Amino acid sequence: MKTGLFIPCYVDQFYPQVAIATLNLLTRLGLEVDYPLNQTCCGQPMANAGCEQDSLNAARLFVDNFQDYEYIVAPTGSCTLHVREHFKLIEQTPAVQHVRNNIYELTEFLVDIVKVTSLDATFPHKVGYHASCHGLRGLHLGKPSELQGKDFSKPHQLLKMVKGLELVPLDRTDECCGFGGTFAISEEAVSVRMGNDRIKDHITHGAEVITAGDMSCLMHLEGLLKRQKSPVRVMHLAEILNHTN
Amino acid sequence: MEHAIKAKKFNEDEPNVTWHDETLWFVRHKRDISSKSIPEWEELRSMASAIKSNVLSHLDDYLLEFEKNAKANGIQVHWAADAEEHNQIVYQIIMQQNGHRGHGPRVVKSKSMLTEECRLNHFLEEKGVEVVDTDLGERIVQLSNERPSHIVLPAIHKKKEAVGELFHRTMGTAAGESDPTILTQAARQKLRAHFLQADVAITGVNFAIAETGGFVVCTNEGNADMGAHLAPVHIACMGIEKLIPKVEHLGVFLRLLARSATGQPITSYSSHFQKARPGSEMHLVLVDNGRTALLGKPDFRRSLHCIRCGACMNTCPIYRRSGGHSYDATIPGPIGSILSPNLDMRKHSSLPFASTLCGSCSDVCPVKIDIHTQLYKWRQIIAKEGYLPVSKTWSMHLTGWLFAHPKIYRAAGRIGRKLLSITPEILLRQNPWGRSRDLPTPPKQSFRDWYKQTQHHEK
Amino acid sequence: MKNSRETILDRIRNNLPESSPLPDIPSFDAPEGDLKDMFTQTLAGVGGTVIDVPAQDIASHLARLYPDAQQKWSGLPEYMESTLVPGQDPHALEMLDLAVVQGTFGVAENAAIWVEEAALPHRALAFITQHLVLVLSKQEMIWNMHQAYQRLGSTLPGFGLFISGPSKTADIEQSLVIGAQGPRSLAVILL
Repeated sequence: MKTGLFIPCYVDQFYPQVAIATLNLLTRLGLEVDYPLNQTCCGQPMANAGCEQDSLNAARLFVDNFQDYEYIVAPTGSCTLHVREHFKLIEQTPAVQHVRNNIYELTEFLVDIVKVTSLDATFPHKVGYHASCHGLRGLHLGKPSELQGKDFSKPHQLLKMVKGLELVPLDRTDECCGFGGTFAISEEAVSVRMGNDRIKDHITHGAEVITAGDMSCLMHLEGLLKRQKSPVRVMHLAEILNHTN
Repeated sequence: MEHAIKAKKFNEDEPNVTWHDETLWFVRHKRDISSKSIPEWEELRSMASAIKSNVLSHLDDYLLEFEKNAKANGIQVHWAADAEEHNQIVYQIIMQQNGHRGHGPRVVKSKSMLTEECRLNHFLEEKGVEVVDTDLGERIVQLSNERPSHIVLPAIHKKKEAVGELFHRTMGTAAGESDPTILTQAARQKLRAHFLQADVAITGVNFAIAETGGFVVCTNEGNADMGAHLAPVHIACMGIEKLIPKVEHLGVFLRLLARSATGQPITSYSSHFQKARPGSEMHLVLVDNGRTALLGKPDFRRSLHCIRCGACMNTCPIYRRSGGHSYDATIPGPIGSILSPNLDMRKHSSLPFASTLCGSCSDVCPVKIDIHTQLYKWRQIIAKEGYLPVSKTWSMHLTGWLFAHPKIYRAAGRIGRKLLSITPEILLRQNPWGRSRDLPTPPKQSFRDWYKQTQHHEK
Repeated sequence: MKNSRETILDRIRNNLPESSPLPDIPSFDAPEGDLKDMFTQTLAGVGGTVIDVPAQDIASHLARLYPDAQQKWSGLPEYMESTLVPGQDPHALEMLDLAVVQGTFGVAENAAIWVEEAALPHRALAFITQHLVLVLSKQEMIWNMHQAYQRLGSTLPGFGLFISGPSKTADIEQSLVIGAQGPRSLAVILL
């Protein structure tokens, strides 16, 4: 099984440790993982800003890079959703369809495809899990609080396999952090307020570390935490799931 | 971007944002508890959505069936192509009344988002007709010369102290009195007098039933009924999408409406009007005002499913932290952000961007409108029509081009990280990201560089 | 020039989506338990109360509950005498303190009681009275709104309504206040 690793552009540039953790985590689970060197971005930033046309070449390049892999794994719900949902804008060649049908967000890949039941991971800390919206409501990685039905969460399922990790409860289990791509800039006031409210919820419940499946949410929360000189850190899920002592 | 400017202003009063957010979150919480007490909730949502889709796909037939049956019930049916015509029709009906005691016709009106959309009050007041809004929240908003900030909780932006001050000024309540019970009782006394003197009662319509020619109006206060059953003339105003085919469909909608809106199992009063009471007149105005245009847009027509419950506002993290007035539209919040561009795209071009596309609005919607998908689609149209700021358009062109050219992207990344690491912090703190947020510390090496150096050669 | 009716219908026909079918509406089963108890519990949640006393005690019970009521109207004279005789004009009900009205059936899921205009001298009465008492037979209790509309069928009266609790508002700071524009209280006599 040949797996292609997609790393979002801003993770590639600013958070290489997240990508390294993802790669190591997958490799340690016995997977053959390859990182195509010509990848850039899925095109979501342009599309969400209303400029779908400007995203199409990035989408085509993405398909060129990943069409030969059986699975494509990405440590992001947001980009994964974009590929699945919005690559329907380009011509639906077999390659495009293959990529759309076989891209997985990291936690759903681990739970649904690799069917991980245990992890060699230790992280003796109080952790708050931030459910990034696109993964939650777009990819159905868990049950959103507003829907009826049985509770489930693939990221929770994995975090529970980490030794020593204590998951803190939250007052609002799945409220948006306020990142939202260009929203973080164009709606600065509301975005900042949303982020601070999320942080407060985690801190009130004793979180030492805030984790999530999307580094974009965490970049926003980290920016706020650092400015406030808070001791609370952010870590991507992959970093925790790959953490050993 | 208009919404962002008003939202920023709203955020200057932090404790008020906290209050607004928590109060509306509590309403969503009540909605969660209430909806989860119904095992078939998600099934009901699907049914409601299917009924509405059916209505839209046979809207002409249902309207004619409704008209025929309503006329047989003695209801006078009027058709209005737009807001102006709606207002004229209502005005003409009012002016046929004589008024009394040297006073022109007196009008009481219960809550109707349609009449808000048509700016009916404003229109009638310019013609010298006094209209009294009788829903408490609407009355508060009317007396303050404001517009509703929420479709179910019109005065949710106002604190009780402000209402107390307003009522002291307009109703003579004691100075400094801000107890909600005392204020409500004061309004009750004043409104009773208006009900008893009214010549015309205007109400909205929650559901109109094609097979009976009747309609249903839901309130908690009983104000729609107090007006309609006392005044000699009742005018009910409805958008053409408020139609449902059969009586049995009310079962689905009445189970969903109040639970979604406030968490109540049903409103206090669900009144089924079919015929005027003896000696009185009943009019019904069917209004288009852009609805047929929306019907012709496949990506957006599902917004016509809306039953005006307000659940999307209560769940929206942006609405809760920017207030209804920041939307500057009759219907604020997520649903307003997809309805308003259909009415005036230039004016409302910022609204589809007042969202993180988190999708919670679509999940709570009792009629399953794909609100966040429509927000995304409106963004595309607004950009195509040229309503984006020029800087944004160009930066997206550039970014798109960069991401299509891996080598240049990598070079730009290296230069960017370098620049970022040598830019003085004071400069970084000037931009909308950096004013409140630190930027990530740029690493020396991108992941790709690391990978190429440490992993790639092994293969 | 076409009138607006034709204009609107034309616009609809030009923009009509593909035909979409109506769903079947099942009636959904009631949960385990006694419908009357569920009704009572739900009624309390919407601000109403149940009067569950033997039929012969109702009159004295009402007299005790509403000692200050002067102007009264009752659709069921066996439980209360009317002191106000309604004329042609509903405005004359302005002074009404208390009304006793027959309800047709009750819905346990939301404590709604169906009341038809035949049970009222004026439609306004159910709203203008300061206090409202509805009389309901325990036998006339169903679970949900689907069953309610099955029972009503497609021929509705000139006016009918579901009443669930007293008039209320939370328009000032979301603080619940009972007695907005309509009745300040609702009691239900279950027989």
